[in-house]
Amino acid sequence: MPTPNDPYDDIVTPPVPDEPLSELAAPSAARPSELELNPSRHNGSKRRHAAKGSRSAALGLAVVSTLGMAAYLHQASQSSGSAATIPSAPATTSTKKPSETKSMADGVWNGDASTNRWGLVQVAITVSGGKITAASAPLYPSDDNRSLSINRIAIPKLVQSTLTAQNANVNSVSGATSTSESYQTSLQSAIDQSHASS
Amino acid sequence: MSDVLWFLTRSSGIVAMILIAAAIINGFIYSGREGGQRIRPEWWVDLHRGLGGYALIFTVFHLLTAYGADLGYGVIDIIIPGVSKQWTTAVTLGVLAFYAMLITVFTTWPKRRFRSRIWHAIHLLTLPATIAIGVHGWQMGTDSRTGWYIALMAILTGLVMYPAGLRISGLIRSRLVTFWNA
Repeated sequence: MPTPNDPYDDIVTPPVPDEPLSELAAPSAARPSELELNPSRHNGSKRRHAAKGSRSAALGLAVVSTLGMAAYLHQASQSSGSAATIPSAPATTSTKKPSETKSMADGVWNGDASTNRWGLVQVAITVSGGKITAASAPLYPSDDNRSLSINRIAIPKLVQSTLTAQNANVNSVSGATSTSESYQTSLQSAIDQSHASS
Repeated sequence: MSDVLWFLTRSSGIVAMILIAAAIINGFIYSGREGGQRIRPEWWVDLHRGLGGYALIFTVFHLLTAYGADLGYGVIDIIIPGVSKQWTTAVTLGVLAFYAMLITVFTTWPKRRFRSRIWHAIHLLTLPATIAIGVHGWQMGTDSRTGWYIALMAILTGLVMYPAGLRISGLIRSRLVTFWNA
């Protein structure tokens, strides 16, 4: 039963006395139709919206905001990526082809952190008997859920590829291009350090 | 493609939150009779319903783009609360809030089928749902620690709290009047 002070009484049509749902559902000659109660709500068979213009404006604004904000976020993510100035391996070393002839010194080698638009990637390798026996990425983009999801899958693949290739020419992981490139750069840096110490 | 969907996921989530806040503000202004005399009540109600419906549409879009962006969430994760292994609490709050929105919107259209008090109670589900959405966005949102996001949330909170305060004070006033007249 509606209360006298209920502020929501007049949000929709005039209050209807408490009736069983079956009676409400069935057409009743005794009960006036909504059109009879409030003719202004209907215009022929089409329902009339009192705030049609405002609703359209709100919807338009929401769509434009969504697209505009997506474009802004995309732009911002690219800007922040390029603005990062974390020192990484020099270009000359990062692009250097792996030296097959030079042996690597045993030990654990941490590559320089390499930055991409999503964050930093750093690779650590363990060299034993002149071979890479273990690799890991102590640092990789994980600030947001998406990066975390992608890199949880990509890093193990890159590590496996490192152990197989024994150099920095590891296969890029599809869908994790930025991480793959940074991984290769940092891995090359780690390999270079082990070469330098041998 | 998944990058585009990812940015759309973030933007649509934020816009859905703004639409929900707008619907709540509208509802409080209308129900508190704070809309003035110049604007017809039907306008407030119609806009309120429109905003609520659009908020739901944008939330569905948010879910679809999140799924399409390959964030590691399965259909089950975004349908059943508490199942997701990533961000379990935040995802659960988001899913529950989505259901609350669904119930609120779809019980508004056949409002006449419900007793006023029941409908009112269902409709007020929106308020805890909004808080859940805020926590969901704060915990999971990639942008939630940025200055502009914090500013936006502060502004939205203020804009919601002002008509909410007016509404609550109006309710207290009317209850007191009823009490003293009894």
